[in-house]
Amino acid sequence: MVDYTICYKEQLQPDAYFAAHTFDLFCAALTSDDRAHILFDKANAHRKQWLVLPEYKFNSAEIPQGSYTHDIGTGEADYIAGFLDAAGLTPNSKLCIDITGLLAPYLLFLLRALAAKKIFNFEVLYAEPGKYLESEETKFSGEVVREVRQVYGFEGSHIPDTSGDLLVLGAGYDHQLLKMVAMSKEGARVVEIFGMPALRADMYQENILRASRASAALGRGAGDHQDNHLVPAHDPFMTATTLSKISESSRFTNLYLCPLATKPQVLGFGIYYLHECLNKPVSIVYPFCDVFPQKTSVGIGRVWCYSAELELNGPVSP
Amino acid sequence: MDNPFGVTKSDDFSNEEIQRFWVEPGGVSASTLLKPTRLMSMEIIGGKGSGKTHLLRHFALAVHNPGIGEDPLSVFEKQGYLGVYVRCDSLNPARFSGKSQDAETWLAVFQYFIDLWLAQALLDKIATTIESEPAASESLDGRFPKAVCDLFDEPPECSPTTLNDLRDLIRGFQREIDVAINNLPITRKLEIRIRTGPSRLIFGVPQLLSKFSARLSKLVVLYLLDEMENLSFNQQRYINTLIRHRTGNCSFRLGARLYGIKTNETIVGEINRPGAEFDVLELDAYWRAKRQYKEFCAKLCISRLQASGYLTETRDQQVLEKILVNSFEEPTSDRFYQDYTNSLFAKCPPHERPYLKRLRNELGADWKRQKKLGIKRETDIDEVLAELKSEPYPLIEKLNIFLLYKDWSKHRDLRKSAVRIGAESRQFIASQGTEPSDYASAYQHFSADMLAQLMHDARVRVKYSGFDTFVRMSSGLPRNLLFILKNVFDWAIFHGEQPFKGKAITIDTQERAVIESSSWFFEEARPTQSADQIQRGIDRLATLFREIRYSEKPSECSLCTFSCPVTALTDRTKAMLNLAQDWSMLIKHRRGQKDRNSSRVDDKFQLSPMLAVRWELPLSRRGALALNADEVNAIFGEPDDRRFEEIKQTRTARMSVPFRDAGIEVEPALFPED
Repeated sequence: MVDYTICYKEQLQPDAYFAAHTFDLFCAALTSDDRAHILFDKANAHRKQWLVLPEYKFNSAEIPQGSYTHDIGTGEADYIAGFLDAAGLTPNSKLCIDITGLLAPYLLFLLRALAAKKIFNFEVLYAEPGKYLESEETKFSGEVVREVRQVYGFEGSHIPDTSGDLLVLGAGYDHQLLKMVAMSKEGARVVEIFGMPALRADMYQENILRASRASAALGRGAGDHQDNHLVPAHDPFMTATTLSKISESSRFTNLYLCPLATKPQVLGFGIYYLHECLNKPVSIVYPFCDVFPQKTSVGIGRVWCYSAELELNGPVSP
Repeated sequence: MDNPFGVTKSDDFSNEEIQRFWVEPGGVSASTLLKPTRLMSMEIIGGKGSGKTHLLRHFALAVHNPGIGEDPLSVFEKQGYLGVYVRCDSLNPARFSGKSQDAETWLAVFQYFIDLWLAQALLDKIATTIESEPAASESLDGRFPKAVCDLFDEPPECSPTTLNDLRDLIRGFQREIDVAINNLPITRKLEIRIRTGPSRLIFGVPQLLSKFSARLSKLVVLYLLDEMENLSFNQQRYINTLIRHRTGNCSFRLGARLYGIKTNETIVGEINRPGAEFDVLELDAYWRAKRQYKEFCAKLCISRLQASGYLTETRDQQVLEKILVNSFEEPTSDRFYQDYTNSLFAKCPPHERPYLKRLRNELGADWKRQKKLGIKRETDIDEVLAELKSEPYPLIEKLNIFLLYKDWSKHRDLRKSAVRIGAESRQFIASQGTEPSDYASAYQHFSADMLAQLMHDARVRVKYSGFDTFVRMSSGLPRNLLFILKNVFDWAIFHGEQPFKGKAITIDTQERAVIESSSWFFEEARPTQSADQIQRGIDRLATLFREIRYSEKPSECSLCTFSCPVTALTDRTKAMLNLAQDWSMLIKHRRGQKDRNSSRVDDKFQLSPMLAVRWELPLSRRGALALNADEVNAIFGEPDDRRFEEIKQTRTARMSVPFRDAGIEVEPALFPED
């Protein structure tokens, strides 16, 4: 088991943080959430760039000048590859990424692509919401799932024996998404990871409420929570450590990972995968939706900074 | 306490459980259905939960365990086939697309990949079977791996000499593909060395097995590919090509959802035909058509219960089935449901029963308005009601009133009608419903609907209880039955009952479980595409059925079915109807329905009984509502409700007082009685 909790994380005050740090590039996904704009405005960087993800459906009048846009329908890999080509980053570039609005497949592929470019160390920021718009009824996606598939670059090398397949779900608020993923891997035993402590006190219960609606699809033992793990929702390194622990303690034939909760959780899944799973019978799957709401929260909560270190156990190669 | 029905998906079963909970379908053996030694391939099509996976996994396991000291391969020799089960989702087939590569390239990669995949699955199966019996494995070391290597275009760098080395070699080739695909988005180059021609391994390895192992010499290798719906159109074309151009001793059994087979076309455009290139087994349709389905369901449940320590007192199947059926409380239908229907109105004096009060008000309003229908003075209303009353039997009263409404809609003299109906009902009661008559026929057809209306009048939900009811609800999908029973068991425990141990499970408990199961199905049967539109269409259809069923003069009895001329529908409506069938929300009946006004035979669709519960509709179909294309388009094809509301109003107005648009204008009497 790898202990990722030695990696650096801190809760920061944006003003003080950016007074002390200047970056070559600061990037964030454009959403209508206050928290994304507050951080973007305060960021201290030679170049600041919004990433306009097609799924948020911003119209051209809403897109700030200088934002990075890309055609819809070409997938997370083309989008991120195009962005990195244009960004002209080198292994020594000082990069800061606000992952608050970055959709999971983009964030995951970004990690993979940065590692391939030998950019192993960079700062990752995440701003918690002040409050979700509709509490546990908040919709984080259009809930119309186009397909459930592996995230590009996280497709592993699986084996035909499916008798002991394991699906680790980072359970988020979207019970339809949970259900779709579970249904796409019906033969797999499901282990759920819940955010505890959640980003805010009431979110754990809300999360459980939503996830319980998918319990029938999760199969045997779902709902009795014997296989559930609780990991702080804001801590990618605890998430990565938990995944490492689960994979070490479970005998599985194929392992499927699916991060559906917070962005720090997605980051944790990505870090764990790049360190321990490349080209093994492990992949990250995700329910792809065409539409995501531009705004899901109001206000801004705690802001976290994580130091991504992708060469923890040696560099990650393509 | 473990719920005996806690596992509703065979995916969740271990191999041992697959065999332990296996129940042969009633009437015939599963081997007769699947024909495992037959070389012609077969598609096993069925709705979600129809038992495809259990069936395929059952045939992937040896029917018998080898005896002590017996060659493990001999079990396959005896049964004449060796099943290799592969879930198509395990191929993660979506990765063989996109990423700036054209469809042709991906098809070539997929062909190579699935060849390696199936070869591995087959070799894994052999290896795990013989791993405990070294003597058996000897025959497959040495020359066999070398012969398999000869199926590749060029000899591999290191030549395997054992079965395990061979597996590692093929696994290594597969990894080459995986790594190339993983790196493609980064390197933007897909560099894969395809080392063997399409199908060479899939057909070749079984032939070599039969050549090098005496035990396997007369064996059919059965590739059991489940969840075919996960493969794309092009990927299925390759499977179809394998089926059409199959050589040697292998065959395919393809498990797919109702919508799972996207094409029967091969790579070069030939069309595989049922009966010629492959057989088809439509599993849920098969179940629905079989009288033995109930018996099969009972065995399924008994095996679950016995594994959890229930129903162990006897081995007599008939006795066990009786115990199972008696484990669920049901309202007694004795004396026209007298006990049950009186309990509904226990707090209400007989003359105050809501349906009588409503009729009184309606007659009064009509009398004040137009003084037609033979009601001359207010006291006539009392006479009419007195004729129709049957205090001990609320169901008879309700049927009487329904028959009066029928006469009302025909503008008949209601005083005369009431006298006639009252007399007929008394005769019917006196004969205990045994003498054939128009009244008896009306009772036979409409008593279930009138009973439902009584419950409505009493403001209670319609009850669905009893094992037979649950079997009907499952409508050929055994998983639905297991899910209902799982909920029944959970609710019974929650209510402090002791299910399957003495006292029958109460109707109240069953009701809660049934409602929960119906809601689950409504959510579960959501297609990936157009889910909201489908759910809206189903909601409208069920609402229309409901409005009719609970109207004063329902046009059809036990309404849960409609017919329509499908060819006249819009493309959008047709697509919605197809989706609803694919997800088992609607069941199409093959024989269709003859249109009353022409010789045309329309398609006929039944609302899934799992959903019927949600709208308190009947589970078994009798009458079918003939809808025209405009009406069906409004239900399934229109985004807003306006048109549907208009249609619903028009339809139901004919069935509610004052029965507008009845189409029959009554002539005023020439010689009034008074």
